[in-house]
Amino acid sequence: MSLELLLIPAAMAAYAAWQARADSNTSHCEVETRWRHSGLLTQALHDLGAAEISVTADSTSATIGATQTTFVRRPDGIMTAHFPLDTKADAAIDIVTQVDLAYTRRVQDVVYHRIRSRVDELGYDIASETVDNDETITLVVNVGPA
Amino acid sequence: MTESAQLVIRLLVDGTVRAETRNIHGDSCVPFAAILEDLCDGEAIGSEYTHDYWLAQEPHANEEVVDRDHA
Repeated sequence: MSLELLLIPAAMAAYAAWQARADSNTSHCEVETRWRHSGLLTQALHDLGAAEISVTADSTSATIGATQTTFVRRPDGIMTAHFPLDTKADAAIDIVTQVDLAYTRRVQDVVYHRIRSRVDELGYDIASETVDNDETITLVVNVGPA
Repeated sequence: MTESAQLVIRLLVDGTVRAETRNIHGDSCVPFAAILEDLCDGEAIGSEYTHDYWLAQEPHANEEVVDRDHA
């Protein structure tokens, strides 16, 4: 090998590391996410069994467990989760972390299908495909003679 | 037998992608950074040249070749 890269798909904010943190006070409780794609968020919410999912151009609302949450898109495209005022910070973080796990699995799926499609379009071919115990998918792509 | 040039792409469940070139030495690997960004519809936020890259370089006089794998 000669080059190693860490890549962040476009559906996610380009953070090297991310951890949910709540900004909670008497006027609001909100948690910053790393999500950019409302369609994937909706799919993730369905995966979690969320109820009353509704989507507008700039926000997505849902009831997760017993908590009503609204995810609002910021000007930079990243979504922030807004919770009812009486939501404890730990509970808000727990919900965002659950949604994040579902969201990133959806991202993994989208990127997998994107690679398969682009490999064909670029004239490359898949030499092997494996799934590890931790559900990491490894694709080895032939790109030509060395 | 010549080994095929390959890209090894790991899709993690946290949504991130780790990729590396294989059997592509020296500067020949550089264009594959953009190809990998295209394949993954993503942005490279970290990169590192590894042992084989530096082996393929012609060291200039008085220039130290650094093995990043073991630095």
